[in-house]
Amino acid sequence: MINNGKKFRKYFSLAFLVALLGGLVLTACGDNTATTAATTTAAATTTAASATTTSAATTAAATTAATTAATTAATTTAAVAMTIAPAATTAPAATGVKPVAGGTLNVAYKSNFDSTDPVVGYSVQTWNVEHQIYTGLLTYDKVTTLIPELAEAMPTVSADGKVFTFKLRKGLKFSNGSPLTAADFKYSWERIFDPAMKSPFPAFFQIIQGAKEYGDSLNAGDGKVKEITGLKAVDDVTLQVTLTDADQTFLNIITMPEGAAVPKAEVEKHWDSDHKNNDFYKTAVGTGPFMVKEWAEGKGITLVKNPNYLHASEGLPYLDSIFFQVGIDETTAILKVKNGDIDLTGDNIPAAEYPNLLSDATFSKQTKTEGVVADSYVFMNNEMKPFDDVKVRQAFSYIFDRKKVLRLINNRGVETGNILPPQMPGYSKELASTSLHFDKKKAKDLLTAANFDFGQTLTFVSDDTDDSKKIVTSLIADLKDVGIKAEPKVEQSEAFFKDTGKEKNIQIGIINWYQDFPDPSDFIAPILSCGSAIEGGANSAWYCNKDVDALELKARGITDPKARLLAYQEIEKKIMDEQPWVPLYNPVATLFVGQKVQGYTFHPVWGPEYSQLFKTK
Amino acid sequence: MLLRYILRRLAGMFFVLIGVTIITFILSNLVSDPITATYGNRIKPEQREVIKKQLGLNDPLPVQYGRYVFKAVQGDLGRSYRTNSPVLESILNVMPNTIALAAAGLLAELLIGIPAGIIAAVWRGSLLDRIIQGITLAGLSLPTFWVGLVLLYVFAFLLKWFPLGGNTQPTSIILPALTIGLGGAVFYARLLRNQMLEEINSDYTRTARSKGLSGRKVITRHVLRNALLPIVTWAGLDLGAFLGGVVLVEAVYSWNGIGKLAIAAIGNLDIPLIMGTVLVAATFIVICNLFIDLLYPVLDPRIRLR
Repeated sequence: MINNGKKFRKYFSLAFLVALLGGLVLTACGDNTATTAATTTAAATTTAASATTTSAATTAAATTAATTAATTAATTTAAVAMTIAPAATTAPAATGVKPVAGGTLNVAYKSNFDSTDPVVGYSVQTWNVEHQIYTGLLTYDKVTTLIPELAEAMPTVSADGKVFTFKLRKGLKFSNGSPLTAADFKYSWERIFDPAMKSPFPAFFQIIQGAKEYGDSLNAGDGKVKEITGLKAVDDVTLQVTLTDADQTFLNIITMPEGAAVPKAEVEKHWDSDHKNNDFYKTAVGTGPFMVKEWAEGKGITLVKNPNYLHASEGLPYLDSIFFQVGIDETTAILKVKNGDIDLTGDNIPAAEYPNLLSDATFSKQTKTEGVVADSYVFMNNEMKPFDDVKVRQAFSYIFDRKKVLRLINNRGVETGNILPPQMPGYSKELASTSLHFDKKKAKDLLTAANFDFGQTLTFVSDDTDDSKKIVTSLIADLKDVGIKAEPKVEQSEAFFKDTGKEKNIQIGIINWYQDFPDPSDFIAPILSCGSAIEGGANSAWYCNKDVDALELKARGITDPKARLLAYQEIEKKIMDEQPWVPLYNPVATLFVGQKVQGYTFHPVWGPEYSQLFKTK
Repeated sequence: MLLRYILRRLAGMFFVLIGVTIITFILSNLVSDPITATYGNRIKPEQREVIKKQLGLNDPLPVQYGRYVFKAVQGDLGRSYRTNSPVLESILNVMPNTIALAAAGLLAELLIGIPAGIIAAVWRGSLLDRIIQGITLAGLSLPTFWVGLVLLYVFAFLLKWFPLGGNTQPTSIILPALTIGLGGAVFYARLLRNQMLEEINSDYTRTARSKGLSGRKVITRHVLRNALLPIVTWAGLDLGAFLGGVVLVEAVYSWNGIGKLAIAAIGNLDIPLIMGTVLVAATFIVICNLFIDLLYPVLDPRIRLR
């Protein structure tokens, strides 16, 4: 018995190991983070009119109505002005409660942060924190209008629209006290091209003259090109940027966290011995309202007030510190806000909890529903049958019941038929009135007229989040109602991204797109242009119209804001005439805010405006 | 003699770890493409190639694996694809929490399970025995996740006796340890009960009783000591497994341990971190296994190491 026991123990340990591995893998596969905002995407956004810090409406329906009403109001202002406004500093919250300085804010997240090095971090969660640590030449006002920040005024632009000259304010300092000069911006942008940084952002900055050559030279390791020739620090306070083309989106790109200034001396200290990795993210010295006190893996990030913040003389930020905690499950986070341990949830409220909170008299006031500049849409592969026929695609735009979809996801969205979300400059109300339709009889008629083959079975693909699975079930039921057979196919999200990037692979499916920056080009070029209809690209509809591409290229260079937005509205209408997608809804972000938190506002690009928050005792 | 045994076992251990890491490496690479896993579909193909080259992903898999082993034996477990922070550092940061929870969980299991087993054996067939069997069966059947959430909600949120998850205060460890204890105690209780019944019915016990030794002395001096041997085995294996991370409990209580790190890594298909956590978990299991084997001759002189 005892001798056999030894062999038994040996095999047992091996079996145990395999079981442990298997158990780990299986448990991970069951982990469905349904929060759409938690995918690896860029900044989240909101209703533009959230300048009014009123508490959220008491019912979901009222909230959606308020959101749509507020956004239409804001859109008119935003559409008219990608205006160049004079430096407007961020004013204190308009609630009537006088801001109180001091205190620590506790925010809860489930997942760990990505690297908080601005040239690396690329998720909503990480950008929300990076915005507290780093700022750049420009920033956004309460909505999506660019205003100067570290620059003393908006840049002067040459007549051909290619040369931008920025003048920095005097006496700027990083949080560690070292002075900030134009050379720091040149350094900060050039390091995006350093292959050792493994940055996802070089493509955005290749619009600068000489940037591509610089990047190629670094990648090849030949040392031929030593700098980006189009980037000049003329003197300590003057930065001159020459672009390869007149492209107005450039100003938005440098306002993203990756365009922020970092101190060269500090960054260079953090290289490892073989110059392959840089740990600057641990100290993260910048010019934002806060600075990093502690970066504890698995625990979270602690920020404290930056005494050298540009707006410190106005008393900002009010808070002494913020503790972004990680590893807190979304359901537990709600409990923690209720008992005061946590002040604000970072992740979306779990789908099931959301209606519960809204139906409670007290908690509904603490539940915030903010529009996100994103689309959730059905894409149809323009290169595969039956969707290579525009008549079929147009017919499909009448089939899907958006209201039913929104009910299934507990109203965490606003229905849409447009490409551009309501908070995006250039959003067209006119297009909205004609693109949002649902008529099964008309769909059937159009399909018959297009000689649609009702005998075929479509494969409807989605990723494996709870929301996606529910939505696909609903859409397939809609298809059945008009006599079309379809089968669902669920793929793990990484496999799904790969498959959408393969030509003639997925016929029809649903997917999301979140903005990188609030400019309409961000919803056209990366996902609806010929240039993006390539292997590994994000153009899941494989839509390519050379005329549209040409129009978009022209629109990029138009310097008059009004004319530019009108040009994009034309482009959007042209694309929607060919119906590569059936847009379904714009997602919302849902947050649960503690009772002690005051001055809460949600910015379309940055998320919660932590520098404006304060806590009552 | 002993030294040779230990060296032979260590060599075997090395091969087990190689086997585990090869399997993990192959599976991870079959299942995922690291670049898409980290960046989704938002990165241009040219930049994809640059990053692939930096991470050495263009080399054939055996070369990548060889490079991994070469660096691992020097203590460099690579860097997370997602955060770029060193894997070993991430693991070492959370190890103290995992060790604390593993020890506390095991202690809870033993503190609940052993007395339950003794009572069930000594008062076998009685109502108390049947009650304990029922409770331990419930502890086995109820899902750990559910037990954890209920304990958290009742004792931390409603009664506020304990902190609501996390591992910041001294009392934070009690509820998670209790959750583990309730789930695992049944094994020890039943195992001990069965072992003790076997010993109680054996010849030497009858001899001791017939020689006039009191019931209590028979139980404590003879029966219990022999019955505890399998318990030691189980406890050692349990500890080894726990040190690899108690995933469900860590998730419920937001306990910052290796289990959570591993799950995050798997969810992100962050291969270096997956390899690191699996390696650490496997190492603990084989080490604990070795310790048990070394401990056995001490507990039972009849056993010799071969």
